[in-house]
Amino acid sequence: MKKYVIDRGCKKCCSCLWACPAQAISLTRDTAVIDQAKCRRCGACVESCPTEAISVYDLPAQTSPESESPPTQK
Amino acid sequence: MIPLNYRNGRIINPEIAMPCLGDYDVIVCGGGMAGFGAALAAARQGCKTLLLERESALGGLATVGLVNIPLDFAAGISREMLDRLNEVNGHWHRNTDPEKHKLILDRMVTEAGVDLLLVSHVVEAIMQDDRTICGVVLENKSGRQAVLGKRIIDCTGDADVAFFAGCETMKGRPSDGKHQACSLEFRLGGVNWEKYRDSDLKKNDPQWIKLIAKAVDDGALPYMIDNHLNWLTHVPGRPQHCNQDEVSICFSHSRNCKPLCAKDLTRMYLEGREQADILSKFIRDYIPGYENSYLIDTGSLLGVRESRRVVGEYILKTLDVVRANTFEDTITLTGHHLDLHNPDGPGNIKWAELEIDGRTCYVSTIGKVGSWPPPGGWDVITDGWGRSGDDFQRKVLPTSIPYRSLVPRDVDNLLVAGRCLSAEFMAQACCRLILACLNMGQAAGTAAALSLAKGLTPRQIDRKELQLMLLEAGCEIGQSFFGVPGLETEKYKFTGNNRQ
Repeated sequence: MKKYVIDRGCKKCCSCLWACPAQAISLTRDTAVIDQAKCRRCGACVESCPTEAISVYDLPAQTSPESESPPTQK
Repeated sequence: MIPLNYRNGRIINPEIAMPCLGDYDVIVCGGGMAGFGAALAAARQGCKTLLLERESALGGLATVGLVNIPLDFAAGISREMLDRLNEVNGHWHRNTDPEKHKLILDRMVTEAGVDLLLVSHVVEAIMQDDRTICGVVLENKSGRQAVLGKRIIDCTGDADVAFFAGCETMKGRPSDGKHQACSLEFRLGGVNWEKYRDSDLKKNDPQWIKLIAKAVDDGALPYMIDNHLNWLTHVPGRPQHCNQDEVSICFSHSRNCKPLCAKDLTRMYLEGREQADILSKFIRDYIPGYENSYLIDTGSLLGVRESRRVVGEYILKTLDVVRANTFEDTITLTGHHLDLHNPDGPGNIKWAELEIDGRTCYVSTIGKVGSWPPPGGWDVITDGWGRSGDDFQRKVLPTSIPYRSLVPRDVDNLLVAGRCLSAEFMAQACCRLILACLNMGQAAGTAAALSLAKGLTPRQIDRKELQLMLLEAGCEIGQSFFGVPGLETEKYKFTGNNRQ
């Protein structure tokens, strides 16, 4: 199970916002943010991000993506 | 030779008879992204097409200018171009390899049967009458020549041909006529990309704002060229070859630009190269991952963001952008936000002053201010309806660009495409990304072909017929977000990973 998190220098260019088929991405003052409940884990955001700001974490199989258990970064 | 015939401070050029290169269905002036889209679209519809480009390669800023970031909706020809780049490992995460990009553009244009003339500068419009363009004059190594065309598409970026033809054009910011700042991109090699990507700097200060402020204070930077890193993009493919990365950097910033003045363009090229020299050394000394980096090159084409815009049948308003207004004749979408590269100093602001319902508002489409907030601070930022604070709603729909913004009001058989579209100053700021220009080009080329097939001027074509042709060609003209008035578009919708 993968978790997609925008945590590496988002420029708020909105590329991921338009690319997301689930409309799971919105903007705060500082960054774009992925709504983990809506996220379909398709990876379209990662492909669209021109600045590689989106990290992909591998979560242990039994964990829900919203949990805070330590992920290992892919 | 000409005789020295000096009159009233000018040298008189005697009447000359220019050879005529031929008679084309469609002449596309400018071989940047818009011209590439236009020429390919026209040729594929069966038009005898000539593409004229003053540089030595196609792609304009996307290649020659090192702006290797094809953002915006990738559908139709733009999607096809990215797919071709993927085949040669020339594209990754909307970052492209400028050299491979040039090659792909050459191949696609040649395959389509377009007649291409590089290193050829369009210098005049030929008019059948006051209102009808019928050709252009160009100059290249072979001399000054005329070429006739039934339809002319101005993809010069500066609306040069529209200007020559006598169209009314708009220039600069309404308040003072100043243009968006220009930037000369540069490329660095010897980069450890992963080290930079995973660094604290990228995480905490991704646009180097604090680092730059400190560097100017300390004297590590002689002056504030810009107060932030604008873009840093990756040139894909290098690690596989030499274990080093290349990046393309938009950081240079020329102020008080006159992009329609050769003397000032010259000033900006010299200044851009000096800035690249200063910045590449600064980056090597201060940015993690760049310890062994070196300057490969600066762009051979200056990053001009705005110069002239044609007055078209419709002038796209900033209000249309901030409200995501839709049109009957939409020909492409853009997802870009309000974006002003400070004309006379460092910085980039993401809001615009607008009159909404008789009230002065400071509008941001995404609630981002950029380098500084408007008078009154963050809290006065409104959306396109003047709502602020808790009532503020971020724009979640893209901007629609109507066909009428490609059709000059004053001249027939002429279309424009690219950053010179008919739009207000801040609206244009949102409509100039690389793929938006390509998509506009595809629309203009298709419209030119349709007008010829029907024996109509581009102004007279049926917009629904044009939209149907664009849908059939795989373009995104709003069907995935809004539908298209008057057309059944369910089967043309993009969903899933193809949405952008």
